[in-house]
Amino acid sequence: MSLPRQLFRIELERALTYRLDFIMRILAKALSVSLISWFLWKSIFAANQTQEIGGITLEQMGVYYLFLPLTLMLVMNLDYDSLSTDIYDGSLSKYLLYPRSYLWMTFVRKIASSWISIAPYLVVWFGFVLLLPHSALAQTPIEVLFFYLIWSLIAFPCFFLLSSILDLLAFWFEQTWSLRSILRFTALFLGGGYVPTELFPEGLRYWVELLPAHSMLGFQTLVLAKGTLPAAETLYHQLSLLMAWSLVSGGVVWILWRRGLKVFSGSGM
Amino acid sequence: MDPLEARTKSIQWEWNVNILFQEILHYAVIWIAFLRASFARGLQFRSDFFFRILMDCFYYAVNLGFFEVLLHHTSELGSLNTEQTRIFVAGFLFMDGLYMTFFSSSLWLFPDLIRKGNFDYTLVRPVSSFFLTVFRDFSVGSFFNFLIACAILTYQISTSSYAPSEVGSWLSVSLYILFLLVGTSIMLATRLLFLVPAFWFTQVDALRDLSWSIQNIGERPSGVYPDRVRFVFTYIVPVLTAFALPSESFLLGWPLDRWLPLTGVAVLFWGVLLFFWKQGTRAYSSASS
Repeated sequence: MSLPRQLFRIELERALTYRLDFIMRILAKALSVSLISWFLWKSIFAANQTQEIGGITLEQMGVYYLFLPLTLMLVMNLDYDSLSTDIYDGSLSKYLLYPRSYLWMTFVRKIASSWISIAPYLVVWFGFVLLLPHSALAQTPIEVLFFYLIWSLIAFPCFFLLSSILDLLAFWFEQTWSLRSILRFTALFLGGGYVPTELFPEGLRYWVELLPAHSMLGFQTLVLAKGTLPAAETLYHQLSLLMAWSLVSGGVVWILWRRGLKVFSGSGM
Repeated sequence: MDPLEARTKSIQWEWNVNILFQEILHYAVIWIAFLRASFARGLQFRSDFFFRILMDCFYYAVNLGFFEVLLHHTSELGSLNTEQTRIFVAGFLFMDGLYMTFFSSSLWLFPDLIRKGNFDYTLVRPVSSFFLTVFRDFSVGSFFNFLIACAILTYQISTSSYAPSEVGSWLSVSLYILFLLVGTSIMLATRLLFLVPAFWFTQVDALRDLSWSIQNIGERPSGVYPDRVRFVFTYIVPVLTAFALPSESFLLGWPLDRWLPLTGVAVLFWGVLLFFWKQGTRAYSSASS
């Protein structure tokens, strides 16, 4: 069996060991984000007596927040912190002896963990589609859904590299979880995890959209919510932004990894 | 009642008060010892200490930014206007800072203590196991952020039309602070109720995550929710009672229907919590739990 398939199987078994715990954790997060945001925006639309805010209708807002937890799970699965933990407790030593790249293995395990986590969401969404067959969600074109999944897959390495930069700081610092939390808060806010970036004030929005968070999270989720594919120009712009940030982060990861291995004692911190 | 009986009762009452005072003093001394140990431990790992302060600063900035973006598009959020919403946000940041400083580190470790059998060391000590579990770790890094949260709240109130200028308004602000403390105590009781099942089940990580997720419900004004949802999260899972009602009571002029649930729910939930705590510590059977 190939290494990625083997790692996928291990992650699946890990998730299924505590099935109920796994499903509850994911659904609790998804439902809380979706429902709270839905009620919040419903009250804002009602208070303003308007059909759309920042070019987004209430129904599109509903779809946006329904898919947002899935985007977060697919792109920034931060529950998985093996890299810094392995450095901290010295487990990295044994992986260094393996005939495979440790970073590649961590990448595959993380992506496996992310994609396995989407199963409980799918059940919820099928339920929504069955209950509301005429909603925007149920009538989302298949090519838009496909675009959303492919884009999330493309965005994953960028976030993996950004979070790895912080994980690799574990070679020098005792704890890095607080730095990962900073990345999570910032990426969530700047990427549209709280409010779609389209609603940011104009001046701020320009700068925010130059950062990778928007391309990683908000962009494909809003495309899905609006139900139409973006213009080719927008697509190239976002893709080149994502690639540029991935390349820069990849370079930093490579430098930190090489330097970190030189100071790694083999027995952790 | 004859004089001898009256005298005996008076001495007995004085004796009970004396014992109660000594008990409080005893626990205060223990808590100060915890505080010293936490400061020593917290300042030992300086980078972690600094990162934690930075993390909480980002958390505050993101929350303030989120509500500012919302207020950019609306002037009313669940029956609160712009000025009231800003005080509301500062209020829940204050409660969050209080909780993170005094209780979060201790509670984070609690399920693991039970699962691994390390709760034995808590039970064998000659003080309340509840006190030891809840107050053991004081988060030094979060304490500095709690001060920042206090500054944000002070700034928001003092620059608003709610700034105290006479005795009545000072009383109102004092009552608000008291209600924020009551709200924090409800949050603590609710969080613990989500963790206490650890005495009976192996994994309560999902419940812990759930308690964090539903906290977000309380971080929005209660007016944004439909009546039924509001009822559930006011009386059954009282996150709105803990987070939203203290600020809304202050901002909307202390209506009875807002602050009565606050006090009632606080008493009820602490009663339920202490009952389950007692049952849980009885059911606990070391690592085999």
